[in-house]
Amino acid sequence: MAFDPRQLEILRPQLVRFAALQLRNDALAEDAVSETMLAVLEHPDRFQEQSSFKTYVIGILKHKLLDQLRRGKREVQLSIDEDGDRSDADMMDALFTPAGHALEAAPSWGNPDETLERKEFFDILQLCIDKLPAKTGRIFMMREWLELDTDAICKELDITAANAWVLLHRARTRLKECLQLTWFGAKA
Amino acid sequence: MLMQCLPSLSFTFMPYKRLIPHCRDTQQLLSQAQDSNLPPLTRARVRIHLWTCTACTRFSQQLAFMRQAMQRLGKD
Repeated sequence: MAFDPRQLEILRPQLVRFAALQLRNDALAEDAVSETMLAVLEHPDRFQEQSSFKTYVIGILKHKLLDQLRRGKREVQLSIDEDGDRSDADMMDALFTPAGHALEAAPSWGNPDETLERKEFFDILQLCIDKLPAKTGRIFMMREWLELDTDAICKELDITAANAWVLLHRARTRLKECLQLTWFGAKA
Repeated sequence: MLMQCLPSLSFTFMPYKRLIPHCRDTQQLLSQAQDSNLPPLTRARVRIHLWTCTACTRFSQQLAFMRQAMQRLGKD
């Protein structure tokens, strides 16, 4: 075996956390992760060390999550995230004047590579993603983590491209504000 | 003379919008550029706005950074 099964067990909490973010349902998240771990254990020769073990396992998890999304599509559409919608709209209003000008320019975020070297940054990023309202968080993860394109997202969520782009803008804006508050602005 | 700005319902109809988009529309378009190719004229209008707007230039950099960060999230 090209990997140690214990490595898999160590990964489990992180996998569950990723899955729960995407599916917003702990039971389904656990299912997806269990299916992933089974798939990895049942086909040990599939991991040929073309990438890190973690990347390989996450790749399988992404497929399982997509399957779950397709299966659960109808249930997900029944829940309307009204509070999230309202608070997103409020947030956008707060950042611009009525004439559409930005209220302030954020300070520069400095050297990206330096920031991306810090593990603590990714912990903060994860927290900011967790804080996104349900609908925006979901589409953001579909786009940026599952790496679905606009067409695929629109099919999965049954929304228009324009709709998707508006939601993604809100997600990115909210994320940007959170990172500014918790990371970039927090270091004096 | 600037053209009348209609409420933004869709970012794919540009003819009746203002010639140079304001910050709110620019930032929406910058975000959209991460998901699909903007038409060349729209890109040009956004670029003109960016020439004189620090806030939106920063936002553009922040978008690029967040994308990079997401690509690294969960990978070692």
